[in-house]
Amino acid sequence: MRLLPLIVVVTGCVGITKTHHVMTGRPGVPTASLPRIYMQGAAPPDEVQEVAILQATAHPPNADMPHVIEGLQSEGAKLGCTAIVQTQVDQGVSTASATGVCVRPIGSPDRQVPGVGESGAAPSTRRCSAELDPRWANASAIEKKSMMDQCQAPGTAVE
Amino acid sequence: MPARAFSIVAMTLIGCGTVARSSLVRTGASHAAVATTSVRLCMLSVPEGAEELGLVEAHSGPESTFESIAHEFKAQVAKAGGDVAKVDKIRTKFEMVSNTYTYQCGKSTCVGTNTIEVPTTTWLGHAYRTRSTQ
Repeated sequence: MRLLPLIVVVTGCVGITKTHHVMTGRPGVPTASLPRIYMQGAAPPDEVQEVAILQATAHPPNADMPHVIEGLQSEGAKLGCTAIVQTQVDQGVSTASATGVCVRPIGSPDRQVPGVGESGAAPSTRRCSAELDPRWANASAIEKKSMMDQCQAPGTAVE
Repeated sequence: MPARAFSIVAMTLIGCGTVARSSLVRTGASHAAVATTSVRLCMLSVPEGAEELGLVEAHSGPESTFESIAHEFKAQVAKAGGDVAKVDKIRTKFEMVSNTYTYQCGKSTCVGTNTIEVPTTTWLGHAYRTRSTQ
């Protein structure tokens, strides 16, 4: 019984890698290939645009560089990034953290969100206004879903 | 020593710095504050011709999130009258601190102590003002 709080504390952290991002640009189309990692100080690829600042944190037994790098790549791929630049890894005793800037080529397609009445239609250039909303960058996942839902409601898509 | 331990525990429990905190050092002209929502975050480059307004720092507390640090960073830029929040560096340091917890032992409540690792993430950068705001 005395060990219960400790067990809860320890098991509560087992094997978790958490990722976060804050948007600095527009996301691209999610990609299956993992973004390439450029560590801090390495020259970034040419002709890229910023998409987001990423963070990954990991706890035992994942509290190491491979897992946080994997977390960054996974998060970056969802945002359509081809590279993560200025990657920084900070290692603690029982926690690891990594941050980086998710980028994609200039001119690569933005993530498309279907506009009103476009079901089954050919790809269009319409873009949801939710990601242009100034609140988007600071919104939580739930708030973003709500904004996207509103965005897909009639009359809210923009060219 | 007990007093010192108590203060560490008290800081942890009371949550001194549970939210993100930040600071600003002005290095340029003073401008009226703007809305945080008008501040754009960037890390790789600054718009050409932007005016530097100051140095900005924001760091996490035990309960803050990555997103809340970003918001705090942008709030300082907005306070300086800037519309571009340029992040130069993000670092996380780790510190071992004492932590107390309670548990039921028989019919009473007992107090235990352990050591936990607390990460602190710091964002460092600059506040800028673009021509469009001037």
